[in-house]
Amino acid sequence: MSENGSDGRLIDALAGELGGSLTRRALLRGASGVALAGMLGARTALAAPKRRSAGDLVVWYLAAGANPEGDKRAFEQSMRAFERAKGAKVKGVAQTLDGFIPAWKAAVKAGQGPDLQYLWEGIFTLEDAWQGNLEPYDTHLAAQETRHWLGTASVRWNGHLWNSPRNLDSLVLLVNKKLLRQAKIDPSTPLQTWAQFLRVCKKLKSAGIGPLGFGLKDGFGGGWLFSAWARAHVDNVADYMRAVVGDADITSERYSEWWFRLAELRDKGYFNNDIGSLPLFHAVNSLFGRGRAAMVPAAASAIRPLLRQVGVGNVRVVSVWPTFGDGKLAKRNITIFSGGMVLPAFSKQKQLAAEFAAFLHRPDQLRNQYQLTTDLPADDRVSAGLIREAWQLQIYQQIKTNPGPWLEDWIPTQMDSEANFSGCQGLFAGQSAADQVKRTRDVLEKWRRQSPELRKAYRKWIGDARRVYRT
Amino acid sequence: MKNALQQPARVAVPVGRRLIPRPVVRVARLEPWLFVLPALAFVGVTFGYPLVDLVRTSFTTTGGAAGLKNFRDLLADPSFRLAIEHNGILLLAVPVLTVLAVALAIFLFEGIRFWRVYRTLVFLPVTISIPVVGGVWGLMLEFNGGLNTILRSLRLDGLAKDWLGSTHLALWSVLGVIVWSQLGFGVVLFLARLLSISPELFEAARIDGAGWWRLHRHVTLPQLRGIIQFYVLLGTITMLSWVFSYVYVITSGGPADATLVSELYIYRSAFVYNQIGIASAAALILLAAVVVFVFLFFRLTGREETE
Repeated sequence: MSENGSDGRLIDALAGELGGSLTRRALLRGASGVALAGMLGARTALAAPKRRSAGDLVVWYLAAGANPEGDKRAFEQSMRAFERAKGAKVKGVAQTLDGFIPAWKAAVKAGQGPDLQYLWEGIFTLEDAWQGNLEPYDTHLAAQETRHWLGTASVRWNGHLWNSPRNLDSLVLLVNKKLLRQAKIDPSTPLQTWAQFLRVCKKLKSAGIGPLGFGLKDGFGGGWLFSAWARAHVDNVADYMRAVVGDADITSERYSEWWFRLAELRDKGYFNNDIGSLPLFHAVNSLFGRGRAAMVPAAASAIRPLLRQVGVGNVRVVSVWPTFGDGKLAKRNITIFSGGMVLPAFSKQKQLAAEFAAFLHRPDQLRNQYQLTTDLPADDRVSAGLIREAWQLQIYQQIKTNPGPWLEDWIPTQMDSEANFSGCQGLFAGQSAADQVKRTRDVLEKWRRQSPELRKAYRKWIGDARRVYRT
Repeated sequence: MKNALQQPARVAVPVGRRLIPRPVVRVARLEPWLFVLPALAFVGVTFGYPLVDLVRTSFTTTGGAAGLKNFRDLLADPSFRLAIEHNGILLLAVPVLTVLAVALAIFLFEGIRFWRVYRTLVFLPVTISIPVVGGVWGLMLEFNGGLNTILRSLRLDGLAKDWLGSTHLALWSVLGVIVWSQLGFGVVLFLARLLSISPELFEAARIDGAGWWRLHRHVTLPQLRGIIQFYVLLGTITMLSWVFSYVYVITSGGPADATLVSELYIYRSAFVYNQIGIASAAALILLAAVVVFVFLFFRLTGREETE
């Protein structure tokens, strides 16, 4: 109470305005009651989960791939078709690229959220499986359904299947045949060995043409370069995984030569001089599209705009990367399914959600998805006749007959981010290859120390990896 | 009729010769708290609960309770130490922003022609969202981007550096973008304060023979003291815990962690590496650092005011 009683006077004034008989005590009681009721009401509203009817499905999906708008339409059409077929209600919530992981983590923490969630393949799915956040598909769907799903090697663990792939993709090398001709190189020249690759780069550079175009500013490019060349001496993806857990020496030439080969390309000036300040996709599109680089790595799903810019007849797609190694994996292409749908362990509609994931793999749904997106279907029940363009058919045939791992999805995300992303940036900022080998070793030691439970689960994964890629 | 503004009379209940007053005083002491209660409850739910959960999570790993393991791992992690170091370097933006903002505010206050137009132009960057700022400057600062193209056309090739691709320059480039983006806020803040100062103070100083420098040193700056302190406090908190958007959009922490800051470290640990315990421990350390700084700041400025 202030010395001049001003607080008391205010309350009395209010009481007087409301009615002479209302005392200050009554007014304070009334205000407290209103405040308390408000807080209790807010608490109840916040605590009570929204009621869902039995048979309602909530799907958090990411419209991605070559044509995100088309993918979104395909998803929505599939949801409506499932509703008609099953009599269930499906609510789709489109996610954003930057937001879907944090939203998923929040849902896991809260123990409630979608019945189906989009996640990237490989380690991105399995880390959640290891922590008990996911339900495997094979407990809800018959094997004769899931055996048709393509590209699932990286999401099999402990004998179970943890992700339903949405579409297939591949990491290829695009070659501008017109620029090769300008440098007096036969556009169909072989690009299998490292010597062949360097010869072409040298001739291009001598002709004043940028041999290779790439961007590392946003970091993702480091993972691509790792996936392309770190497997040069590796026969099986499990080989590499042994080095991750410490059962083999990650600094040995078998696993680390790729850093020195990358430094070789850097020192010879075969990459664009602004590689450190360009983001990956912007670099690939602008450098290749404008004829400033003769060769670029590209995801198959993102090639179409480049073909339109450069001309389909002027582009050669190299599915198996040039290699300096003799490992069996080096002779395979790089296959991925970028993302698919997982079953959250907290879902109350697991069976229905699994059936929706299977519904997405019905041939009519896959055909519709292809018509709207031109993304390669992740199911062998779709006829290859659906694919009209020769370049895409070539990639699809390679994926089916000669699949190889996208190695980035088989290593801890911490290694990818802190060793590959940062390491490639450091290399092209002038640091040495030896520094990056040391960085990789230190990052793995840190991962083993900071994440012992993940390391245990990862070690268990090695056994599955050995089985899925029989080379 | 009783005047509502009058104090109600004390009602005494005679017991022997002593007067026992009604418990009006106890209720009156509770009054302010009752009015603040809803806001306190809101803050408690939105800030207090997450804080408690943060503290709890910082002592756990995916395997369960982990004691101080997360803190030990954190302090042993060179990436975390590097992130803190980078936040420290970004603190250099605070004196730069303060000096530039004060200088510009004084300049505009002098009443140059079209000063309102300049004020609007200086404030414009503040109104642009950070992702847009980051995206535009990301393009401008590319090695073959807008800035270097201009420099090369002026035959200043030596100045055309790899602003975002060089590990030595990237953090300073980000600092420069932050200063460009935030400067206008300080200018408008100081200018508003200057415009509220009585002009008689300045006239009196001029009559006493004060030149430009003495006028601003002995009249303007003391008048701006409080607002400068506020701005420095706000700027420091910003550089410690509000630069995530700039770094994420412009460089994603690269090249080679050259622009890694503590917020990005926390984000990566939580959402990329699935190390929630470590992320929580890092967030707790960052919170503690900011709280300690704010506490010391108020102690220091409070002592200065007393003196």
